[in-house]
Amino acid sequence: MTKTNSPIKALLVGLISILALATLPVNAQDNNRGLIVSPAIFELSADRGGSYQFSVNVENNSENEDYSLTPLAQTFTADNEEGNPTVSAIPDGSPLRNWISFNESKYEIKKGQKAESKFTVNIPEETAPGSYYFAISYTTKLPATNDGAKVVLNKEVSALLFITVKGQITRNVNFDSFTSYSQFVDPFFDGLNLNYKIKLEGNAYLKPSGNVFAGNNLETPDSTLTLNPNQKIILPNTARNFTMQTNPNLDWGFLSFKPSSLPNKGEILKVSDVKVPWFGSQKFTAQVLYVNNDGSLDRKSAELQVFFFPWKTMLLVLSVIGLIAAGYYGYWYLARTKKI
Amino acid sequence: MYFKNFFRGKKTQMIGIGLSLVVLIVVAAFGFQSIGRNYFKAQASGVTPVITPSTANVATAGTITVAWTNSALLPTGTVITLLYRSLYTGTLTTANTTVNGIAPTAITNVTSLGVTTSSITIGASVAASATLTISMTGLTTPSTAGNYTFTISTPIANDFGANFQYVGQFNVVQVRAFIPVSLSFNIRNTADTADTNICDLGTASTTTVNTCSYRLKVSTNASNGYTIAMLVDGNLTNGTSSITNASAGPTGTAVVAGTEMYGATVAGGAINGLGGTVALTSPFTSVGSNVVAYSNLVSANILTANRPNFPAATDLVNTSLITHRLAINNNTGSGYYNQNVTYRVTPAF
Repeated sequence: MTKTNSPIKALLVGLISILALATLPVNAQDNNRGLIVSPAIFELSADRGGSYQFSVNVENNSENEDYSLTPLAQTFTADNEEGNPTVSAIPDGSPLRNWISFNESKYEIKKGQKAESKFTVNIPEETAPGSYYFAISYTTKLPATNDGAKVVLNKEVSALLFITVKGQITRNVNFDSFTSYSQFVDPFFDGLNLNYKIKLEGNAYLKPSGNVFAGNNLETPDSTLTLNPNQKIILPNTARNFTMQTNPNLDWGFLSFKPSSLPNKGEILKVSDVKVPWFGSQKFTAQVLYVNNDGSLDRKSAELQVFFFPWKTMLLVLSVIGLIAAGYYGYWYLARTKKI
Repeated sequence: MYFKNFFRGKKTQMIGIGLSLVVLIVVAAFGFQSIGRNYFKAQASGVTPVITPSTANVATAGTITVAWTNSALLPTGTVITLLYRSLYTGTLTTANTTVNGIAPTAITNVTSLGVTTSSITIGASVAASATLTISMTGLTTPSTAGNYTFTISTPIANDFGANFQYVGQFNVVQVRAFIPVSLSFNIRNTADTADTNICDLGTASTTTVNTCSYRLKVSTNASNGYTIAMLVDGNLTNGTSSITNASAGPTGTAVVAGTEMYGATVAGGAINGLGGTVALTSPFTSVGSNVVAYSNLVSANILTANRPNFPAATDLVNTSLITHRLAINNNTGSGYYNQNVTYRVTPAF
């Protein structure tokens, strides 16, 4: 009787367990996100003499702190070729100091509450065309203590504001490099790494758009990938690295490279798989498109030839054959010498 | 013996009669359903014509076919009716239209209230249960994207039905939503169980190295990750004298009891955005338990993360651990030493 009921019991226990698990919070974010700023990236195409209003939602999601926040307009530059900003104060005497004015000079936000921070961007008439960069920062300011050896910790969260003042915009886009992790790729073993660096000169930032074409004929490429799926921005007179990473995908003889799901890899490809030969060379053409000041469309390309050759696979097969042969030979030798 | 006993007595007889009635009702229901099917089939048949191509570009000429299963024999000369929006330009003629591959003997087109009615006299009979296909090469799709119906009706079989042709991808429902980049930052205790804004090094002595630590917790959906920078208001000081700062990375300085030294170690941790990595900048990397200088009066980037991060409520992995270390010697002046550190978090672009 017990035996008959055990599957039913097991089923019930399983169902109850599943229901119980389903009700558990997944990766729950309780009240401990602290200071929240949204949106954290703005872009503005502005006219000289124009005035533009923005608002930022600032939220206190701390467990037990009330925030006294000071808003501040700062500026930033590119710290490296990966899109990380270095924020700094706007120098004294810089006309940029007068561009941004906040409606409030301080925000007192109790825990669990939020505020809408409004600010106005005023573009002076005499501003030269081109891009300008601001960090809209919200900082907690805590007083120093006089009790033992203590380090007082303040929080600052900044939103980035990219402003392009209309007028004579110049952009000179070039591929600094276009490389593969390896020139010789075993399509059955290796992932495909494509790295390219785009250098921008001029007076305005660029969010590059374009494609990477795989195939020996650009007119009829075998596959097409998005050049900049994460909408990265290049500041003028800097360079920016881009990386694409794919994994081999074998499906009944059809060979393609799937977007990577492995950690510590590069950009995730979004448009299609990369189709490659299992043996032979494949040309990759990276092409960035951008609009000139006169409205014409321009493009710059870089090419890369990758050779696909299953050398690792062949080494593995040869190793297995060698091992089998060695085993047979050993057996034959021992049999011959009558040791077995 | 069992069945003999079963029908013994009134109670069992009633059960038997009841069961018989149920069987009868079920049989009758199946019978009527069958009759009903045949009855309606003889009277009229709702059909769903197949329009090919089901999707088309705007203002495009090409072959359009309307096909359905014919319910009853349609003799030669039967007039079938096709209705479509008069936004389709062009006219159906016997030269550009066929029914099952055979040109009709006549077509009349009447346009009224935005609908064109084409009466097509078939040139050959169409058998019952056969596919009836009207093929048209004389129509051009409307210049405005939309979902447009083709409706057919036939006499005798009384087939009637309609279906859409989706022009200009009007059937594609584009769902759009703007999700702004959100960035949040908190400073938590070492176990990530409570907020903190103080790192207490305690009471220093020449025989110990005093430490305190906390976690920097950043959540963001910024696709390119984020940057954490730091700046201080000055050295760890009592107002008159300051503790000797460690060297900057990449090596840093060891903190030994009895030798005055102050600095911090940074453990970048990880992020859980797919394929994401955290990298320390060179001045904040150190060897072993060495500390690095925490004395930047101008903002300096400590670490960069290249993907979004969504740490859990308590998360010792996807957060960065900062540990301050202090050692003093016999000459270190007494007093309350403090330092104000500001951590600056920005999205990467």
